[in-house]
Amino acid sequence: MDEDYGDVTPITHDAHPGADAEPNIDELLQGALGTYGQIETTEFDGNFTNEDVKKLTRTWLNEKQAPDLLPYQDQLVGDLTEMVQNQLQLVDALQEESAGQAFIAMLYQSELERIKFVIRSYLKVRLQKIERYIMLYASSEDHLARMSLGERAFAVRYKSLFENHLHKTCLDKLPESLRSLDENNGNISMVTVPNLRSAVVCRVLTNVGDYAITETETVDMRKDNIFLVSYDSIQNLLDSHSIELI
Amino acid sequence: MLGDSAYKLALETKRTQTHLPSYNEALVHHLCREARHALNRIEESLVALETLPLSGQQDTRALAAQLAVLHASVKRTKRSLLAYHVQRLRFLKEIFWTVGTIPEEIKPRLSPAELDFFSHYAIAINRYRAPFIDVDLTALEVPPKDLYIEIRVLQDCGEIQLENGSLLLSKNSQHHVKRSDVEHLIAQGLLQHLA
Repeated sequence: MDEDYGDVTPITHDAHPGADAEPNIDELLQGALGTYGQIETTEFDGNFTNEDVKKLTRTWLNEKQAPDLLPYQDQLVGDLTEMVQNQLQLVDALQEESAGQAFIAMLYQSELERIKFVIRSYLKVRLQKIERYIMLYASSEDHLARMSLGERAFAVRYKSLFENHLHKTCLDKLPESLRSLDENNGNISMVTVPNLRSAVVCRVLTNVGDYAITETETVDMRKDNIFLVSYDSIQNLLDSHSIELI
Repeated sequence: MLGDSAYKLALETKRTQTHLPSYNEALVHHLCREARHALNRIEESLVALETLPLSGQQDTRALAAQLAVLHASVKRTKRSLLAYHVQRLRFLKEIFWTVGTIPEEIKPRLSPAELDFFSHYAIAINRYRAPFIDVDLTALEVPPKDLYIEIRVLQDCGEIQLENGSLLLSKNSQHHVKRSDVEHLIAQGLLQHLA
């Protein structure tokens, strides 16, 4: 990588650049910005990365707001975790170089921390939903299909863990007829299900035109409009990426 | 009175939302016994109902009412029991995600089954997060603002390994460190994050 930075003003390797000479901030910044521009064009395609990060942020917000589990974005998470790995190596390499590069490395690290946070939060929100609605999700083909391999394995493990615990602590001490975990008690089912009629705020991404949000009500959905609607009425718009949840 | 103990347990469940009291083995045991007993009485009443002569209208109605009440109480007992245990599991999971291990002062308050659940839950999560090692799934869920933060040491932590070198964290000392290096110690309350 060394030869790529031919135009960068050489800066001493000293940990405290100010210790031996007057630090020239302009020079430092110029060197830094020059490097930044170069990495942008040579190391990876800036546009591509931005698109993926944007998509991830959208996916994460959708998942956070939707009451039900959304399909897992395998490709996206895979690509981004790989990118994070590569960037971490790049940062390590940069830090070995001069103070200017170390400054750039810091910018990269901050950005990486942010991306890592979004991925982490996305995965965690999904795990929380799986745990919460485990009795429904673990036996619903539809929901299992929306999980990643890891999530499915976790769901199976968690369900047996959860059931075992309840059996061990109290159910097994009850008469046999009372031991099930999926009966109805009056009108209340024991299986917790997500409330698909809960309200969500959505922004329209592409013109949809007239859309029936209830049996009797139709709204004109244009790009950038924002609506407060019940989740089940716009579920298929979300699937087709015509809207995003905010 | 019928349903009193179940109410007590439900009340305790509500309290568990904010802190974790000792596992109430005695009450759980008592409720299980109560439920078994109530179910026996239901069965007796059913037998009585079948053998009752058709003419005894008054008795039939009394028995039916008794059955309905008993049945409702058994269902309610079961619901309280489950709510109690599930709420405690929720608390345990919260501990797992914020602290990572069970603090010593909480351990005696847990039942053996709960300790078991905790360790198996940790295994399940660890298996899940293995492919995402760089993302560090158990890090705090606070949006990162700064890469480096100012911290004050509240309790001696000894020497910790940083990305580049090691650092001695002695009580009351203050450091400027990388956030991701010390995040878990902040979660455990050993360090304080200064502005």
